[in-house]
Amino acid sequence: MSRRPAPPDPVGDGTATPDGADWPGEWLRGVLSLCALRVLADGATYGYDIAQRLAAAGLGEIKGGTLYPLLGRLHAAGLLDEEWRPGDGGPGRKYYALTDAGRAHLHDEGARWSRFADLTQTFVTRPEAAR
Amino acid sequence: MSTDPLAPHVDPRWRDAFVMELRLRDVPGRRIGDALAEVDVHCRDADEDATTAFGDPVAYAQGLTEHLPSRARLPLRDSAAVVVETVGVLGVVWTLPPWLNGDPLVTSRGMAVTVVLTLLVAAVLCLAPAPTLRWLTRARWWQVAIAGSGVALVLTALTQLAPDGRLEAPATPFALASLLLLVVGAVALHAGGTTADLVRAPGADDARSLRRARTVSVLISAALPVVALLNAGGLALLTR
Repeated sequence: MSRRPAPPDPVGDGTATPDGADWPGEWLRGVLSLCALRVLADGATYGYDIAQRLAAAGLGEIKGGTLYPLLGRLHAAGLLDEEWRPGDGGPGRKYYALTDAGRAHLHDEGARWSRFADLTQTFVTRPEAAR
Repeated sequence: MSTDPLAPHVDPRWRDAFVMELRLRDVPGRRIGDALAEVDVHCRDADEDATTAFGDPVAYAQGLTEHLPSRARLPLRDSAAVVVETVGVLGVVWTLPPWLNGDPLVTSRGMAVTVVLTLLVAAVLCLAPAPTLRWLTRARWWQVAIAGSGVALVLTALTQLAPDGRLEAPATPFALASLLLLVVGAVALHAGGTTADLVRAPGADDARSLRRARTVSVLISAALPVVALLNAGGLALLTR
């Protein structure tokens, strides 16, 4: 009896989605930047809240070890601003906000991603040729 | 989890490995404090420990350094300061006791070889690339024992090769020169900025924090000369 090969590692230590599936890490790595930018298009927020919103969108649990280097790269590329804001009686949080360049990037790359996703969906799900 | 005001929700062992890795990669203290505070806040918000949320501290630090700035290293200036300070410390411990006791300075080939080798080791450690320093920080006891024995063997071999003979010289000029080098080395270490680059919490760039960093730098720079002078004083009393 042959065993199914193990799926590629998901991002972080597991990305359990609401339907119980695990998205392969290599899929998420391609789209996580855009998803994070999309969260921030709704307004500035902090890392853990971004992770929560991504999880609520069905992308699974994104670990801090994946999220913060990604946010750092987006900041270094000029797509995000970052700012520490004081907390209510406790330590503050670092808030991230889209820059104009980040908003333009999200708009352009979002449209390209949409075309890419349509293309791959059409290709992968088309009927198999009869042999 | 920890009493560290910079990262109270992070396991101290995880924190130390993370900070050490970023230090080895010459990330400035302010940026290290920023990254550490972000880890701490995330652990608090997610109610997770740092290993669960961020994985291995060294791997996480390596991932961050792709986009974090690094301190401009000046290997020659930094190593010159360390070598001058090392010469000052060795010189003070060696020359002050006879000078204080009114005796001449006596040296042997073993002492001369030890001084030269110590300076070489200090210079090599200053110029060593980060992977070498990383290996040294993680070396096991038996690896340290082998390295130490190797240095001792080289020291012994070189001592046997050096010409033998007892050399005598007046202690005063050597003692004064050593004291001068001790002070110059301490000032150079402080001025180089390495000792002032503390890991600081985000927002701690106010005048008070910077004053504290300068004070700590002065204390660190002064600690070695003070210990050397105390050693020399103790030796002078013992050999009187």
